[in-house]
Formats: sequence, structure tokens, C-alpha cells
Amino acid sequence: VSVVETFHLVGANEALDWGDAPTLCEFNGATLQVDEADVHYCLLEIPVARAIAALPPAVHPCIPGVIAVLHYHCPVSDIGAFELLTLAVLCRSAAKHRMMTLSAFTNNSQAQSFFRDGWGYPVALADVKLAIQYDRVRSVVVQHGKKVLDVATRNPIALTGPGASVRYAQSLNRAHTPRGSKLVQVDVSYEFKRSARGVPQFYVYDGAALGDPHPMPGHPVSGTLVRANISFDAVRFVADPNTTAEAGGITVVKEKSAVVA
Amino acid sequence: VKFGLLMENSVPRPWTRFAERDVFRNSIEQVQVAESSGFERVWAVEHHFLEEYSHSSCPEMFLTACAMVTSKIRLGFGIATCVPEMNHPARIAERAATLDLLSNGRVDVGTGRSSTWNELGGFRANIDNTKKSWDEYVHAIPRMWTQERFAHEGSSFSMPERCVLPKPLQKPHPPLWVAVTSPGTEIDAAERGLGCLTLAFGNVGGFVDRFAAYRKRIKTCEPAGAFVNEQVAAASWLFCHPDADMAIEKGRRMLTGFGSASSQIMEIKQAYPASNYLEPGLLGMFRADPDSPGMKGKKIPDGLCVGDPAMIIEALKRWENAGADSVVFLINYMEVLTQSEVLDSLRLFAKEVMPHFDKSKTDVMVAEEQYRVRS
Repeated sequence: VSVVETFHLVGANEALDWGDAPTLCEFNGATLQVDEADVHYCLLEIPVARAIAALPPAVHPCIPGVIAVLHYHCPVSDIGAFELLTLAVLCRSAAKHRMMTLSAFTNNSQAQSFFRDGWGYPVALADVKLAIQYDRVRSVVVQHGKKVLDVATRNPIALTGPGASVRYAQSLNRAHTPRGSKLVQVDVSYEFKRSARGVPQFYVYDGAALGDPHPMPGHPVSGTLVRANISFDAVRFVADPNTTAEAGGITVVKEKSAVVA
Repeated sequence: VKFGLLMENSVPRPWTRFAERDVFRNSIEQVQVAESSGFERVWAVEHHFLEEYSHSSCPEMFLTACAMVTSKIRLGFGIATCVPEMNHPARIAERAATLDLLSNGRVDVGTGRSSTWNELGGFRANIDNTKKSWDEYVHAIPRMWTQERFAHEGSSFSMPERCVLPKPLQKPHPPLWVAVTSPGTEIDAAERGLGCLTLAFGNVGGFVDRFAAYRKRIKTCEPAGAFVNEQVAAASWLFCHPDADMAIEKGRRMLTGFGSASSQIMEIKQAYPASNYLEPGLLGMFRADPDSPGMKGKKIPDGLCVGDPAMIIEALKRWENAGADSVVFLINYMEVLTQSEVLDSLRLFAKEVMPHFDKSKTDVMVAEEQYRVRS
């Protein structure tokens, strides 16, 4: 029994609702390259107990607890212009930082199918907008005529040099797969063009609609806006939702070389 | 080469009522045995909110307890975090001077700026300014010790004239160090005449050039304090046991414990992109997923002192050849080793390994160079 298995905190949500989880009929190797995308990423703290309650036993909570909004604004792509916004709880699989998706929204029905069927995002259609202003960057989600999310990065300042790169946690999505009910890891790679950092703040946070029925997170960590070429890579790893990576919970779906080929 | 300890005071879960108390008590006994075995110095880190990883938030209190049961071993206070939201520089000066008096002049002071969101975010620190505040602190604290009264108008702190008390016993003042993890910080240390406490835990080869650069640059330094403290200390793990295989297995478990405990912590680089935190700190260096299949069967990293005495002598010779004046050891982590295993390891090290290293060379350095008073 390793030190990790013995001592460290793990998620306590053993009863993930798989009923409405997306289905991946196959690991089809889908990829998507998007040039000149804007990526708005907001991190705010939440209580560790809240994170533990949201996470499956396969992963460890991030300490302190952190919730993330990750918004891709993609004006041009093979599936058309689209917005993709996810709300997630930061966690880790063994030593690797990840985030467990709680909800996802897009404004493009083709993108909805593409991300749901390819990577297991629980994507709902909504009016999703990114507004870039000099005093703030704002992501807003309106669903069924109701604003469910309004989050901004205030006073963004440009980052330069090597400090301009942002380390994003890769997403984990629950999905029915050919390997059973799994957490599907989404590998996204970034080629940074420019970036800015500011202070994140929620203005509207409809927890019930966002899959996180809790009060609005308050303690800011950081907010960033990045212009980048991004690549959604083919699924490489899936994880058993109840088995930690240290205990062998990770399954390799495709080797990296095979994906590249 | 001299030898020392680096006490993190890690406390694994489950946190039973006596778990933390027992870790601290064991650590004090380890320091006592280390002193009687010929170890020269013990460092106690300052960390806050780092669950399991380190419960050493008040190192000067721990070191005071050590001072009361020892008489020779030097006491490394720090790394004291030189960030205003966490420590006012006058408080660092006061606490270090008090410890210096209580220990009869045995204190070294290590300085740093933290690299975790847990700590800096927890105190709502201005993360972009930590390099600047550290620089201001290392110049101010020696003046607080050496001047009867001190006043300051600066960017990270200001204070009207006050007599910062008590004054340290060591004259002109205790030696100052800086924790070195990111490449380039050894130059920061050299330019200010500070000791270089490298917290890399292994990778000897990677430090040869950095140590040489430190030695070269410090010759033309403008010391922050009243003298140049030209010393290079390297950090490593120690588990010395007659059975090499058993030692390596236990050492691997300590490394795993360190890796997994550190992975629970949020590095600044992950949370808050900033130009003054380009590299992962000490914690990030060991996030190589120690339980992943790729790590199975791998050798203990270069320079770590885990094995039988012969293996450890070989590792230490590499540090000596690289230019380290001293090596400080983590001697347990996450309570992987029992207390008797830790103490036996220290004693075996003292008996079988220490005699292979010449302490007189560094004794001369201390006498002739360490206290080179600024003209």
C-alpha cells in the first residue's frame, strides 16, 4: 500500500449521476485545431469539503479547493465559429493536475455534438458570449432566457516573456465509453500568442444550473485571457471513476505516437 | 564537507490528537542525536498551510526547543519568508535575535519568498512583488541588528525610527542565507554576499556550473549585511543502513511520500502566471508521478544519500567535488521511517561516513572568510 493510497484525501462522490452522461460509441481519434482562439480562464477558491463532495474517488482534491471557468472563444474552425465554456473543480490524478467538469455550454449545435461525442463534454446549448474590454474580460451564459453565469477578469494587464504562458489543468469528463463508464481525459495543447492576467470575479452564479448547487465562490486566485492556437487532441487516457491512478485506475486508450501518426 | 539536517516536520494523515506532537518530539530527539554525532547545523523551514507536507509554521519556536537541549549545533532559522503580508522584517529580526541570545549565538538566518498559492494566496500576498520585498528585507534586517535605531522608507515596508530589540549575540550579526531553487537565484545570493542554500535534493551535475558561478560572482559582491557569507549548502535525503537494498526501498518510499505530499500543494506557477515565478519551486520538482509505471525500478536520483555507507560516501564525494561546503539532509518524511530507524541511520552515518570527509577545510573557511567584515 503506497503512502498516497493510505493518507491523501480523495473525492467522496461515489454516486456520480451517469444517467445523463454523454456516450462515446468509440474512441474515434477526433481532433480539432483552432487558430487565434481567445481563452478566458478564471480560478476562484471554494472550500475543500465542497470540492471533495463534487469529485469522484479516483481523484484527489486540489488544496485549497478551486473552481475553474474555462471559456474558448473560437471565431474560425472546421466546425464553424463556436463558444465552449466549462465549469469545473480542480483536482489531481496522482501528481497530475486536472479538473472535473461539472457543466459545459456552447452556442453551436455542431460543436455540441462534436465535443459531447468526441470527448464526453456534458454540453448544453446556451447563449455564450465573451466580451473583451480594456477594463475587464467577461464571460456570460444565458440559458432559456436566464443569465446563469457572469464572470469577469477585472483590470487585465499584459504578461510578457516566459511569464506569459498559462498552465491549464486538463479536463476530465464522465462518459459512457466502449471501456465502460469512465472519466475521459481531454488533452488540449496551446501555442500562446499573447496573454493578460487580472482579478476574477463572479457577478452571477446560478449554482443549480451550473451543476454546483452552492454559493458563489468569492476568493479570487487569477483570471487570464490568452490568444492562442489550440489543439484538442485525440483521447489518450480514460480513468475508472472509483480507482485512483496510483492504484491503477488509468487506462491508455491510444499511445501518443499512434495519435500523432 | 560539513553535514546538517533539514527539518520539514511533515505529518501524514490521519491527524490523530498526538500525531503532530509526536513528530515534533521525535524531531527534537533527532537533533539531539545529530549534535552528539557530529552534525554541524539544523535548519527548520517556515511553511504555512501545507497539509501533510510541512507543519513547520513557527520554526523559531521549534529551534528554541532544540536550543534548550543542545549546546553546539547551529540553528538555521528559515527559510523565513520575506513577504510583508506574512512577516514584517522587524519581526524576523526580533525572532532571530532572540533565538541567537537563547542559543548562545548559534543562529543562521535563511531568507526566501515562498512559491505556493497555499501560502502566498492564504495571506493575500502581492505575488508580483515577492522578489522585490525579499531584496528589501535582506538589506534591512542586518541594519536592524547592527544599528541602535532603524528607520526605513521603502516599497514593501516603511517604518519610523525604532530600536529593534533584542540585538543578536553574534557580532556583527548572524550569517544570512537565501534558499536557491530556481536557476539564477544563486547569482542573487552571490551579488548580495549571502550563503547559497540549494534545495534541489539531488541532480549534482546540474549544480556544478551554478556553484562555480556563485563562487565567481560573490568575489565582487556588494554584501547586503555586514560581511560576506560565502557558503554553499546542498540538500539531500539521508537513510544510511547496512543493508543497501533495504535502504533503497525505504528511501524510495520517502521520495514517494515527498512527491505525493508536494503534489497536494498548488504552486504559484499553476495558479497565478507571473514573470517572477517562471520555474516550478521545490515542490514541483518532485511531481514526476512517483507511482506511475514509468518510475518503477528507477534508481534513486543522483546525489541522494540513500543506501549503505559506501554508497553514501560516493554520493557525498560528488557533492564535495561539485563545490558544496555542506550537505543538509532530510532524514525522514511522512513518518515513513520509525524513530529508531532514523536515529540508527544518523549514528551509522556518523560512524562510517563522516570520517571520510575533512571538516577542517570548512572550519578554516568559516574563520577566515565567513566573517570577513565589510570594510
